[in-house]
Amino acid sequence: MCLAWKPDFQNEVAKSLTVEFFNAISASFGNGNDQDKVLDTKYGAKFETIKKSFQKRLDSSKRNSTLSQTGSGSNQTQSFHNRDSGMLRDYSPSVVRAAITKTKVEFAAVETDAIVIALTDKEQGQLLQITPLTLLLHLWQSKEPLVLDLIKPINDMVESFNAVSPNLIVDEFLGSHRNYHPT
Amino acid sequence: MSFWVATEITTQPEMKNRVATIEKFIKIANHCFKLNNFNTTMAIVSGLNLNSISRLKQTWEVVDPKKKRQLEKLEEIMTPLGNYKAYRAYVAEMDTNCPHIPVVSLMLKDLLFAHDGNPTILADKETKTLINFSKLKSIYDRVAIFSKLHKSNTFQIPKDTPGFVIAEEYCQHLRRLNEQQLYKYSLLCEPKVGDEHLNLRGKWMTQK
Repeated sequence: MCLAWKPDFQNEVAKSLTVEFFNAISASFGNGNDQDKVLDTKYGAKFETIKKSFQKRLDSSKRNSTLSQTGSGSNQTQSFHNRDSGMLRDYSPSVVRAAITKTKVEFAAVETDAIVIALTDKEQGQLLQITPLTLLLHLWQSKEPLVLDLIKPINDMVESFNAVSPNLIVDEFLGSHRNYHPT
Repeated sequence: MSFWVATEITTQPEMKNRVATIEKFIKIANHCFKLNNFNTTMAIVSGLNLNSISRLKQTWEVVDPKKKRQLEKLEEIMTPLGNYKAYRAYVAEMDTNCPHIPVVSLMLKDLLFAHDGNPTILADKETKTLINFSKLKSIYDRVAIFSKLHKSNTFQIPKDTPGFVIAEEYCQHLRRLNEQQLYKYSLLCEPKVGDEHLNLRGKWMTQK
């Protein structure tokens, strides 16, 4: 049997501190004098409700967390049912870890050959989507919503050129194209 | 308008990193040219000739002379002089079956001029209307280039190249600054002679 992922709520230190907090706020305000009794009457029930709500969540998360128990020793993590939403979700550690540790790629970290191939691949993909008919009918200058899909590859290619450097040719000669911004 | 090439260069506060970035871009442009990806080559070469980059004289002095010569060769081919005569001649001499990515903006410009610069119907002396087939042929020649590109062999992209996945991820989110910001960063890299912005540069360097 091997332990899979446990939710942080089961972290013993965090749990004990939180329980302590809720016990403190739901306790009586003072030593029983009149003012304290008024405060107890006014707020006691509300704090008790908050404490019970927290306890309920703690119990439900404890019931819902899963231990992987396999005789073969494989490390497969079982999906568990989220009671609140009713949807089956996969909380496998690789998904959580990937979301947390995603870092921004720096230019210096990218290999020259790799970036050349990536840029060429991207541009080839865009180029092959441009149909000769779109060019023949000058559709890239059109503002008709019906032709948006047809002219998107041309706009994408011009946009990716602009992303690299100023599109001097387009600026100089294709003013109507530059003013067109498909939504 | 956004400039990836200029952004990567001007956002390097250290001169050696700036020089390394410029040399890397020249290498990328050279590789793209050898792969016949003229669109990206043109984009990088024109990015390196932006005002905010070309004014970095001290940085350019440190760039490897061999890389500068490579850039000059690319500039000779990609120059806009004579309506991109050198580039058109280079492409015309290429094998028609060889896959290449043309400068798309230039093609669109040619089509626009072919369409708008020539009338479709010509009026004859005897008030008869004639169709300008010369114009239509000119448009067909340009559109036919795209048809040939679709039919010719496409690039065989070796996606198992080391670092391809990282590069692909990087290319989806290219960093861009606008012209004003680029010029400001360019001034921070190399302020104008006798400029009071020297203090600002010092402040920026200490914040990094």
